[in-house]
Amino acid sequence: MKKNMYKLYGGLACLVLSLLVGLFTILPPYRSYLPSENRSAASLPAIGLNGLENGSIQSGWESWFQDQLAGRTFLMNTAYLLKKAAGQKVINDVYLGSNALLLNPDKPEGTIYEDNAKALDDFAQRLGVSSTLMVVPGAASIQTEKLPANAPVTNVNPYLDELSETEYQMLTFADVRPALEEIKDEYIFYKTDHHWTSLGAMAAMKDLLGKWDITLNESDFDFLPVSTSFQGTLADKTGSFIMKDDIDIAVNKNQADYVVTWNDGSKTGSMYRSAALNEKDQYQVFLGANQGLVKINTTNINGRRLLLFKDSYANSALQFLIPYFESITVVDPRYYYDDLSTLTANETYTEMAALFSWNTFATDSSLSMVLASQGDVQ
Amino acid sequence: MKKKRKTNKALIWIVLAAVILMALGIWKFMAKDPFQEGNAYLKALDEKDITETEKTIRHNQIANTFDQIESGEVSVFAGFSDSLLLGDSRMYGFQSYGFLPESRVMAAAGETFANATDYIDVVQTLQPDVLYFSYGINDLGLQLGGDAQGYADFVETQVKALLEVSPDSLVVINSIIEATAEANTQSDYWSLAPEYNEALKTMTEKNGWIYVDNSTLSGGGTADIYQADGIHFYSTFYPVWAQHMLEAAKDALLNS
Repeated sequence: MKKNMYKLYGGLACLVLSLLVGLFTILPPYRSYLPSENRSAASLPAIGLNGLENGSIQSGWESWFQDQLAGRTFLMNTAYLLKKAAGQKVINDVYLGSNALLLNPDKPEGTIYEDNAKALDDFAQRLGVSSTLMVVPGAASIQTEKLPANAPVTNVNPYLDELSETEYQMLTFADVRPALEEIKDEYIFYKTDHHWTSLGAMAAMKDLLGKWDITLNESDFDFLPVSTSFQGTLADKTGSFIMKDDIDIAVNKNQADYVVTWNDGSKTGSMYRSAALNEKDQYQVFLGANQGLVKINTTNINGRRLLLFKDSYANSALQFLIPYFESITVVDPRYYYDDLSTLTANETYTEMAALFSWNTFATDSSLSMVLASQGDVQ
Repeated sequence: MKKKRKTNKALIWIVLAAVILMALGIWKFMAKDPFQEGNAYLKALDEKDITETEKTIRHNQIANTFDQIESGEVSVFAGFSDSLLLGDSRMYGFQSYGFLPESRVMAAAGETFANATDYIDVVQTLQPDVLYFSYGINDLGLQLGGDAQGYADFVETQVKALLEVSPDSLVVINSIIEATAEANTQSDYWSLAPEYNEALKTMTEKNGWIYVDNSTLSGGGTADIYQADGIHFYSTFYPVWAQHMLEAAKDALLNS
């Protein structure tokens, strides 16, 4: 009798808890953005017969409910612990490695990576300025010893080899792998985020600058810690909540003054956004949130003017480029909607580079679209 | 006896705890904040006044542009990238011949200095480094200002109105480029250009603005720069005119 009562109370408690979670989930306000995952929350599906037929309404509701679920973070963290305890080695395409989370690289989408490289070469020819391409593979491709044994990681090397071996007219491929592999035991990638650390970025930029006969001396930079509590996108994808990263900024000892003109036209004397250190995505301390166009003008007088196409990997790398240029025009093609001719009409560049993570370069065609959208370079 | 021993034991624990807490407090107080240097650097950059830096950068850019123009690396029109040109149909040629983008040329046929303030919103938005003006033939025909001095006063008022909204712009006023002698027969006033130019020059210099004397280019209406109407210019004249304007503004631009 007593046993039955316990069962009844237990069942009732579960029911009430489920009802409460459901109630708190469907009651407004609703989340429009998930800061822990650095993405917009799924919106409510539009109701229509088509949606019913093809099932998009059901999957839309499912996504919406997942994103609005009350206690979502707590549940994800609990699920992570349970999966880890059960010996699971991969969650949401992120490997639970040795003291690190490693994102499985994307497989290339069609010929996007080849098209992007070709578009860069064509653009370089039209502009009359040689271009250098650097595509950065992530930690899973460089720090392979951190991966779980026999992890079936996408091998990006054949594609990078292909880019390296292809002969272009005015495009040079800067293979960053040797530079990163040389220091792969050091803290060159964040443990909880898909980006590289300032140390990793410095090694790569030393390599890139070398292509232009510019020598980067490591001793010219002081690394100053600004955070030890960074939990990046990979932590969010997996639900990991114990591991944390350090963020260092790199300060050039002879740094010339500079002015950053942001996409909205505002200007500051800093490439850093210090407020990001108090927010979820602390990597945004480097150049803030993604934006289409940022111009950096320095007081250097050396005749070097760089046009840089990039994704967020370059944000921390800019610390190592600013000291060596008069100006750097930074274009993120994923967010750039203007005509490139406005940048090339009355401005000249001495160097041009494209710096992308493998995932962006292999799956995002916005670079080739932006470069091709411009007719004749003026 | 037993009670006393118990009290002593508790006292020892309390003292020990107090000592540990005090040691922790001192350690915490003495420990260096690991982010102190980094945060101080970020804060200093956040609070940095960029006015002087911008000035230095601008100076370097202008000097660099002049060097590039001189070496032929870029066209003379690169020197107008942050300028605004206001004027009549002659000035409109910079746009119609494709030398400068539409956004940098506020000019149209038949316009006079009275129209300059029509573009006050554009001036306010663009905050151009330099405001170049070139009017005159229509102004003469309409006898704007009544006489030479009256015209110069009117021009001064118009320019000052634009400077109200863009106070840091450098002002460059072109002399009225004379029409050919044959064209001058169409108007009773066009031949007054030299007299008006004298008044313009005096007024311009009084205000610390830049006056561009174009008489050397036009040869008093005899140079081979005119179209059949004797008023408008061949396209080949525009790069020469642009170079002349830039030269006149060069020192002021480099020292601005």
